[in-house]
Amino acid sequence: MEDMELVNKRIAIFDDDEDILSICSFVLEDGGWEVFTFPDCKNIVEKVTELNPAVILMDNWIPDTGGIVATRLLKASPEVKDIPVIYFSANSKISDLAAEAGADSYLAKPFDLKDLEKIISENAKTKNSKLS
Amino acid sequence: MKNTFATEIILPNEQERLHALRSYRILGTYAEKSFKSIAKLVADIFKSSIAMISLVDAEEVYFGSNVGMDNAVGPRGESFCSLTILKPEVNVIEDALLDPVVANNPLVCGDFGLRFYAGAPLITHDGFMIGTVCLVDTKPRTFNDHDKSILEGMAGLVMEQIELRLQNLLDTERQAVVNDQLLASNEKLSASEGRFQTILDTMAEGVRIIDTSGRLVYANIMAQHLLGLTPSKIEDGVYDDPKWQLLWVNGSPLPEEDHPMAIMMRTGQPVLDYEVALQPPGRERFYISVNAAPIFDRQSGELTGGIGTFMDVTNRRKVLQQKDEFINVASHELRTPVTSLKAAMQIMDRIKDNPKPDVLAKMIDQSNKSLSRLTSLITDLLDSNRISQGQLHLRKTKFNLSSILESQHIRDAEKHEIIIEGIIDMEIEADEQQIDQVLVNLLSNAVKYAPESKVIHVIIEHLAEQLKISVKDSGPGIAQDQLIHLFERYYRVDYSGFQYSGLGLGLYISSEIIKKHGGTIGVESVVGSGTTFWFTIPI
Repeated sequence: MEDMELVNKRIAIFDDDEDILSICSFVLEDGGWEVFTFPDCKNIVEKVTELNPAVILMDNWIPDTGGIVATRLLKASPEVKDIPVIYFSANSKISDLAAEAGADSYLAKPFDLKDLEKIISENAKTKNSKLS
Repeated sequence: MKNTFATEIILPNEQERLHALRSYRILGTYAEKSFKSIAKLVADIFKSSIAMISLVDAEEVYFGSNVGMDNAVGPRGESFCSLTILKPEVNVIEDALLDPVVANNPLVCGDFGLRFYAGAPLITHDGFMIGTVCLVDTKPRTFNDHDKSILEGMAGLVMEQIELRLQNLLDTERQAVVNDQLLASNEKLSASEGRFQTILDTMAEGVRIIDTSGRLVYANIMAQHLLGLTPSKIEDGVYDDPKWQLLWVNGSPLPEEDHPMAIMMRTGQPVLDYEVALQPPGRERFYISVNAAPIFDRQSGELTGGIGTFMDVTNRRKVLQQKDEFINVASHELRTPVTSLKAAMQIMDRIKDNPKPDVLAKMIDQSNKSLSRLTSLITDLLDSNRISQGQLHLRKTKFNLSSILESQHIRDAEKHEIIIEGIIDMEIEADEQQIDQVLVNLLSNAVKYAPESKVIHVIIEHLAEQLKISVKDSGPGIAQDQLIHLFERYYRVDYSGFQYSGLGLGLYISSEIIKKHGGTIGVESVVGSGTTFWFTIPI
């Protein structure tokens, strides 16, 4: 997967916790990513279409609608449905939540940095990847 | 005792004989109609004027007769009957003057002039001679074998009567004893029933008894109360009042065959701690836990009915649900600051061999921030738990309002300014630490949810007997339908629903603190203009 070229190195993170946004930005920027953070999911389809990131990190508890509705919205829009969404949450039932949201993968909080980096690189959209 | 006969009239078995006589309990009750009529019969048969039935006691002989002897009792030593009881055969003295044994007897020698005596002994079933049937005359006469056998027959008749009478007496006595026992037994039963009824009427569980057709035959007071039954309804009810819906705890209807009583009646096995929900018309749904046990006939072993005991577990379920929620919420809330703390630590670990001071500084700062959030969360969670357990205690002291107002500092103070309006130099009596906690909560909420509101007003007003403090921001405001939920304990832990997380605990704790002080707390908000949280403390 690392050999395949990514469409771009843009990542969008949706989380209401500013500390998490701050720390994730730091780590990912260090890894060469262009990080865009959002504390809520207002106009999410619009924002994501405009940004066209290679991967999205979505928190479960994001104002106003919550991560499940937000992810579903994205997956329902043809322009952005192919962008992989990694669901993350401190909730113990994260795999159920991720499945319900229709996310492509998930990461439980608290996480190890290497797991964060790994799951992002594994899921990020490559130039010739087609997600079903 | 003076023996007027020329022979011994006491036999060796006298004590046993007396015992036998006394056992018939007939002495002293003597004038019995049947004895009199037998005596008359004897007199008629033998055409004699004097016929008697006698009982020979230790010293005296008791007579019951038709006519003749005036005395009802005579000395044993003088009575001819004393001789009759010496042998189990009829004793005949055809001419007293010719018999040396009786020649000196006063009845013979004296005014009476007894010449003839015939007596048949009364013989008990165990062979004791206790008395006689006899006749007496003042002229000699003959007494043939036929006469003797008649007299014997009469004696037998009398003895039968005596035996029967005793049986009757004993039976009556036994009956009386049995009756007394029955009475005592009934009283005990009544007392026992009374006790049980009291237990049934005062216990906190409902008790219902049904027969094999499912008809309700008994419901105690608690059952009536919980199920809305009245005594008349019990008369004609079946399992349940059809207007009351029986549901599974998740709210879906409970089929009749899944009713715990039905299962128990079908299987003959007890069913324990079976939770169901009841939806009465026009009332709030409640939950009960049912124990259903079969009643078997002791002898035939057949199922004759069932007994169900149940109690209201609505509170129990609520408490359990709350505990579950608490754990869920607690674990979620705590993991969040741990995430950033962990990440900061791992970053520092990565750069430890080549530390860049500004990065290091930033990470240390982040770690402290996360740790502080974690600590305050733990405090909040423990506080809210204490509150829900009723353990919130106030330590009231007199302090100056200015001391807590002026010391208010908030995170990111650079971005916000706190303006205090109103008189703050005043003494109030309250729990200083807790009122401070409330102010911190309201201010940090304002900062968090109205980040663009540069100025936050803290307004102090002196009303009639209260002090009102308001925290006002000019942020985005909160929607009307959200306002009522703000002071509730938690946001609902629900996949699809979303409410303002973080506002959950702080406002709940603040509202409990204010309530404990006897004050009120509230919020006003207009979407787009801002929000004002206020509380009052009585002064």
